[in-house]
Amino acid sequence: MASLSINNVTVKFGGLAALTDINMSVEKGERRGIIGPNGAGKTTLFNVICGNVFPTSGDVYFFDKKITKMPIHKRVAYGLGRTFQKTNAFLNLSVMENMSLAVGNKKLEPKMFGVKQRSIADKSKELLDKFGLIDKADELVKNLSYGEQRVVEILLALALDPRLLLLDEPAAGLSGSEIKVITDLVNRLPREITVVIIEHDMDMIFDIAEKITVLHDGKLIADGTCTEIKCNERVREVYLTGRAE
Amino acid sequence: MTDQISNPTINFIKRLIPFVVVVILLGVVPLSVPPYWADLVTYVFIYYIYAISFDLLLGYLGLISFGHQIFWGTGAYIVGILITRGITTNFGIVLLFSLVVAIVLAAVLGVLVLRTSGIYFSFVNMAFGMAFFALSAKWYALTKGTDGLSGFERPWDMDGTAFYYFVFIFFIAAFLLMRWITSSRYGHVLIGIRENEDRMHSLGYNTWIYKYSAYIIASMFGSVAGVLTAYQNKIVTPDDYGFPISGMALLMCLVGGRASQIGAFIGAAIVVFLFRVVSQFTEHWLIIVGVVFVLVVLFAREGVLGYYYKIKDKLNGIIKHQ
Amino acid sequence: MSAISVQLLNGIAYGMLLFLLASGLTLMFGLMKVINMAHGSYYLLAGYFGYTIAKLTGDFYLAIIAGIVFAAVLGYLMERFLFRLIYNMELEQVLLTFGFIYIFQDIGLWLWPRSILVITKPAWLAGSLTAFDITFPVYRVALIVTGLVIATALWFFQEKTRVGAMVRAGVDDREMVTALGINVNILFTLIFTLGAALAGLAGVLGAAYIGLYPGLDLEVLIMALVVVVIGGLGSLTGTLAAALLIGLADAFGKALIPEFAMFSVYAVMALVLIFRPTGLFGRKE
Repeated sequence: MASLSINNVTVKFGGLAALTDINMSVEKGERRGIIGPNGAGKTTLFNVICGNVFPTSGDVYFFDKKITKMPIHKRVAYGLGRTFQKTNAFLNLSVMENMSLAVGNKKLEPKMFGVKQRSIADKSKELLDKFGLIDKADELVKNLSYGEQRVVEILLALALDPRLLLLDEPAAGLSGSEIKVITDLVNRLPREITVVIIEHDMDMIFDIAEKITVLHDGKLIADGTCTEIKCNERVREVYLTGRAE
Repeated sequence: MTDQISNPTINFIKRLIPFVVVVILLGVVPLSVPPYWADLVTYVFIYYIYAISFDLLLGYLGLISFGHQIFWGTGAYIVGILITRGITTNFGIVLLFSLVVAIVLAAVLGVLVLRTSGIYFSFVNMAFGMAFFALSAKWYALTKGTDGLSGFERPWDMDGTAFYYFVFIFFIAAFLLMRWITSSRYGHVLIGIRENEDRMHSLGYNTWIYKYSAYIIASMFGSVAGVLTAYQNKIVTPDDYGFPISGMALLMCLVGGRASQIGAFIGAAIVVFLFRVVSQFTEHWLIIVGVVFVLVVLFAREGVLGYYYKIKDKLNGIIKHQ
Repeated sequence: MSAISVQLLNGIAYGMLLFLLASGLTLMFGLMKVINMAHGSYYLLAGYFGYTIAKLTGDFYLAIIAGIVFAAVLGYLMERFLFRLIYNMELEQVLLTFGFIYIFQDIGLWLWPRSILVITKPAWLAGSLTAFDITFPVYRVALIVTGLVIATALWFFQEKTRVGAMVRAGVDDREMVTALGINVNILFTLIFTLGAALAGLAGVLGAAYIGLYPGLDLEVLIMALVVVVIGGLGSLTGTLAAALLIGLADAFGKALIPEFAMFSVYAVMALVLIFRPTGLFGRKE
């Protein structure tokens, strides 16, 4: 069953077409990579999926539910989680507080306030522990290293228990070892979660993704398994020459 | 912070003791100081209720509502209008009516005003504030314009001391209620919206509902303050719709510490007493207000409470190293 | 028909006055993302200062220059010594300049009487013109002309100069500005001073039209804020359009419902809020 279906989506800003006639389908549990040069429209695609931007035409389906014009928070309630290219956490709050906000929105046991707050704290600690940030729980996010911030960024999305996780350049600005940490983190995610990842780091993409979609200039130019994409002439052209046309 | 959960009972007692002490101290004020000062403290209580409602928007949501005095003024005028027109002198009815009106007003204004954010929010609020000020000054038939509405008595004709305790009860209730609201998950969500509303969307929160409900809650507290101030002064004028009301509240929250009911109290006490004292010595209290404002913004943005926590952290740091 | 023309002219004249004031605000915000709540205070104090100069010298034009310079100096001092400390801190700017409103109010009350002060216009501006069967005061026409001249000058500045290009682009990143070879400090100070000068000009011109009195600083500030909310902060076109809209709403409001004239203005604002919350020409932040 398709977890995500993008049908003939076009996004125009004024006269500029950021995306033109995109058709894409991601299976449940799949690991899909999205690559393309800068300005290809990758983040716009995420924005359309998440609701930050509405398509000029076309539709988006999430597990057969039409979400094209649904407000962001409703999509999240349906199981959409997303990270941002530029760390978009709560910098002036502690790691723990960040987690609590993310965790706190799920329907936990609906009891009195006191009990609910305790469960949020426990769940948050559990997540932080699992991903190695428990020691930094009381640190303000802005005081963490960039790599740790990127982990928080991902945890904020994971804490929502998403059915579909969208990662927007999670490795941006990270060192080799930090990239390895993130890659492991993603690969350890359970199969119930569908993962779509935008990345420039090719090693990371090929390490995680099963299928890859290639965007260029707002258009989808290739779609296939890793090997197919590696051999694709058009893709090589776009990437090797680096520039458009 | 993660340790605090380990012993809730001790923490509760740690917080209860200062609270009880302060309540007792405040409770004996009218019995131990001249009425002038007791009246001043009553004024602090009333302003405090207003300040914490202002702070709900400022400290927790990061919104400066320069038109918040609309609710103070409306609460006050309801007292004036209902009583001087012979509609009722029953405090309960007056209070209830003022709350209902506040909710309706906030519900309508909130929809308009929350279509903006950040600085636009402040501007729009300011404009609406001015609208009400002008309205109260011009609509002579309803408000007697700048003459104001007067000639009404306090509930049960309370004298200074009785009125003090009357307001004191509201003060305590407001403190506890607002503290409960802000320390709950709701309060944390508000803070999240203040810090990064965008991300809150992506975490699945319907931020508009939170802001809207906070606006309405704040309006109710503001209205109560207005009602009490009308009774304290026994007169209501267009100045009850004036900017200085919110300006003062803003200063109080800054001086005492934003996003804190304790900070607001410290701020209210300091500001009221400071300016009462200053105005004995000079007519130029406006410039003093302005200068204090500027200094606080430049050098003491987190207020008294901010310094208190800084010092506390430093001490904790020193202790940990030993 | 003539009644409508008169109101139209009144509205446009008042709108031009508002434009002069609001353009300063929008200029400061457009380039530097700076909010100056004391902008209305510049208007009033410059007006007061111009009034004093006019009284002492009897020279209307000198008063105008005096007002402009006074406001410019005030703006320069504030930018140079205070705003530098709080760039990019929007909340702090609002708070700080709000505090200055109090300071300036005190100065106003201290140095000038509380009664309504009016600057006497020179004879040629004090009369009325009759054309097409309509009689209207010359001064209002002069206001409109002045407004158009300034609007054109500002347009030219924004569209045709390099500095203007930066204002237009809303470049508020100091590093980027420096990288383009312009001294950031001088640029920002210049723009801020220019904005203040515009407020000063408006203050003196307005002093001969609507007078000066305590509390006017907040009144004009609110009007200017309504203009920028409707027009969109940072957009000069928007400011002009909105100022004219507000001026007209005010004029027709005064003519139709004199007691509650100002509500026409708030009604317009409320409508814009409902249908176009970012303003008619607002720039997305």
